[in-house]
Amino acid sequence: MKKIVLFSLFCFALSGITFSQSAYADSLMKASLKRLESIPKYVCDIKILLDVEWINIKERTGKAYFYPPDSVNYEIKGFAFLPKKGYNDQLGAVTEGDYTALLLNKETISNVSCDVVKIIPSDIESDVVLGQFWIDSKLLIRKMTFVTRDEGTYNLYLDYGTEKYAVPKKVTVEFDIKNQELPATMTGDLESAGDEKPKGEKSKGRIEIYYSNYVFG
Amino acid sequence: MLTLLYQIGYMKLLEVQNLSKTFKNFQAVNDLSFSVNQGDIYGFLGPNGAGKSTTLRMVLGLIYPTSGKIIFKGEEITASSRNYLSQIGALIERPDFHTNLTAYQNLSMFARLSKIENREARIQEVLKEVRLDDRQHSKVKAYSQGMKQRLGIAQAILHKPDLIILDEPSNGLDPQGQADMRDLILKISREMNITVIISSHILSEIEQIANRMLIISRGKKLREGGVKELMEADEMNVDVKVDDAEKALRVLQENGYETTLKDSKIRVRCEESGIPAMTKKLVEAGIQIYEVKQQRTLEEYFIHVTA
Amino acid sequence: MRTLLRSELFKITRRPRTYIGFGAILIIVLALEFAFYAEGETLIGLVFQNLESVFRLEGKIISVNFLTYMLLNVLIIHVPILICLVTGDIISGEAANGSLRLLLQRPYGRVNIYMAKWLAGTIYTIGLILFLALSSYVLGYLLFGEGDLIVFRKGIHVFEASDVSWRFVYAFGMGILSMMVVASLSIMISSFTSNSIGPIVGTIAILIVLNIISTVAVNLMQPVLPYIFTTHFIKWQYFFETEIEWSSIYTGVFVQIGYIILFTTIGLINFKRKDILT
Repeated sequence: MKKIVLFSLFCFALSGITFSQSAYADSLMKASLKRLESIPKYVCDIKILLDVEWINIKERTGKAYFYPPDSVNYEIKGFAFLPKKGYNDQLGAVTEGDYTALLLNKETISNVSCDVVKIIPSDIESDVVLGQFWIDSKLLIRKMTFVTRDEGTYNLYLDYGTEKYAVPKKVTVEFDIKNQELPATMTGDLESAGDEKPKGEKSKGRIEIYYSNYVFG
Repeated sequence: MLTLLYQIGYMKLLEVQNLSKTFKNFQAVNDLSFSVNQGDIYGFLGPNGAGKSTTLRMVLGLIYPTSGKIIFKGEEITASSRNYLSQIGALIERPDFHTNLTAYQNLSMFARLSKIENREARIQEVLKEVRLDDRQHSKVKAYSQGMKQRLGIAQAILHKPDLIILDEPSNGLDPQGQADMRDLILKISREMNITVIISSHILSEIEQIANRMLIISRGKKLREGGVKELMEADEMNVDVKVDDAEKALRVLQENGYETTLKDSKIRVRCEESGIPAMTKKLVEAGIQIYEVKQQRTLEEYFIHVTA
Repeated sequence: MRTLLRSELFKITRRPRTYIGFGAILIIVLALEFAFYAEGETLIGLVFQNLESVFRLEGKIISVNFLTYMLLNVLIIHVPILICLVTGDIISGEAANGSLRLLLQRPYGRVNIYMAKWLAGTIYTIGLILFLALSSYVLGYLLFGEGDLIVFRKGIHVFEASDVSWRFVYAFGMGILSMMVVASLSIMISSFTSNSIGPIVGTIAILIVLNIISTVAVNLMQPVLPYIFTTHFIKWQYFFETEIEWSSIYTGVFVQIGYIILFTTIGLINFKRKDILT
């Protein structure tokens, strides 16, 4: 009897701790999001570097125009590959509806200690199956990981400067990309027709975007 | 040395010595020798396939001889000789021009290639000579055969050559056209002092205008010399009209004459100098002679020689 | 030689056939450029489907540079045919219609005559390629304007607009060299025959067969591929790589110059020695 009572008390306490950790994770997430939501309209200079094995492109420069809450337009000199969705979009996709927030162990990102929050959307139809966020003491998100249903997993690393708002100076996106195959008759590349195809169906890719000269308002 | 000999009048304008040409297993020209003097209208005769065109093409450097020599104005023509062509004009076989160009444009192109001075004046001069000046700006494809032949002559004389070679110049022309062509050739020879070699199947034409001739067959020379002299020296056909043709035939055949009966006349083969003896034989046999006529045509001569 | 060359060029410019080549090039350029103008976005969408799932593509994809690059691909089959139409009967056509006789009666060496025809054929070839360059660029610029060049060759290469002009100069230069091989081959064949159509068909047949060998039997023919001149017809694409393989390009240049010399020498020797029977 005593054992049952003790065990029941233990479970009750455990659930209480879990619940409070989840609540903490949720509040941390919300506070961080609130910081992001406070970012006003801005324009800034950007520099884009792409690193995919089979895409060769030099750095591109241009401007980014941000309109709250999450709209970004670009003015790029020439042609550029940019991440399909801005980090704001991705955050919104995960945190818009109901979700479960879990607090994991602390980790260090770029020498900054961060709380790690895992977000599991309740909507089983959601494109994003899982999100994980590394949030520092200033409520700045240093790293995001998204596990998607169809587009694999990708990570975003955010480095910050000395701006007043929670805007990064550098964003690095790591992703998986399906290897491109096009018929030679379409491309005129008859020489590669007999070449060995790259191993595996997917390659790793990386985009670095540098932000500078923010002008707010 | 040869040039010096030519210059002192010892060598001919054109000399062909022991010329031969073999195509694979076929001998087109066989050890042919002949010469053309300055001022000649030189007839070049032979049946089809005799080697006339081949010989003329060798003179023009279009075909390379297998052996033999061609000497023009004292200089031997070799495979690399080209300068002598500025002194020769030619119309070989059909006159082939750029049919999408006008007569004037064709001649203008040839005038440039021949590096003629006062090109424009010379073009107009030759067009007038061949009576094409009023049609000079028409495209050659609109020309009749006769006009094309005349244009062919025009390009041959454009650069005032010493020698022109005409291969079948009256080919495809009507009688008037042939007469016009003869007059033109005579004019070229007499007024422009151009030596002419003319190859033709129209033997009456050669008979009328040529002073010397060469007859070849199967690539070999058969006769060469003055037209009149050759025809007179050789035997000819003599037609004799008598009262008793059968008896006359018998008498002449018994005496070794070559005879045939043609239209109730007896055709006898003999030289001009032999006619009196032949008629004497008939008279002695009691045969009445009504007519003795020499059939001295080049056609007859040619058929006899090439038979 | 200048007189001869002038005469040959005059003859080429007066032939209606010459303008078939230029007309055909113009039609190809117009067709491709208007096709892209009307349907280019759809076509590009198919090509970039995979990329659009991962990236946001910013900037112009279809530009004058892209179209000019696409049009350079006609160098492989279409332009050689157009070149053969003129150079293929530059000697045999005149032999067939008898005007070669009239030319050879002029006081010019056969070597000079052959080289004048070869030069005239080369000038025509260069003119045709330059016309391709000019027409594709002018029309492309009017329809699409400037923009970066995206090339699909062993992956994707994106070149800034300012980094593209010199590549096209080299590419068209290489194209001219390749087409000079075609011209030299057809002129050589032309010296062997007396009919107009034989050299044209013969040259095209050789090109098609060699192209098939170059592209289909790749593994089997690997050792001889560098010596087949059609292999180098696409070397112009090498100028559109981030790291240009200069050694491959030099090989292509030397092989093609070698073939030009070979074909021209054979044709010259034959023309010098042959009996003109037409």
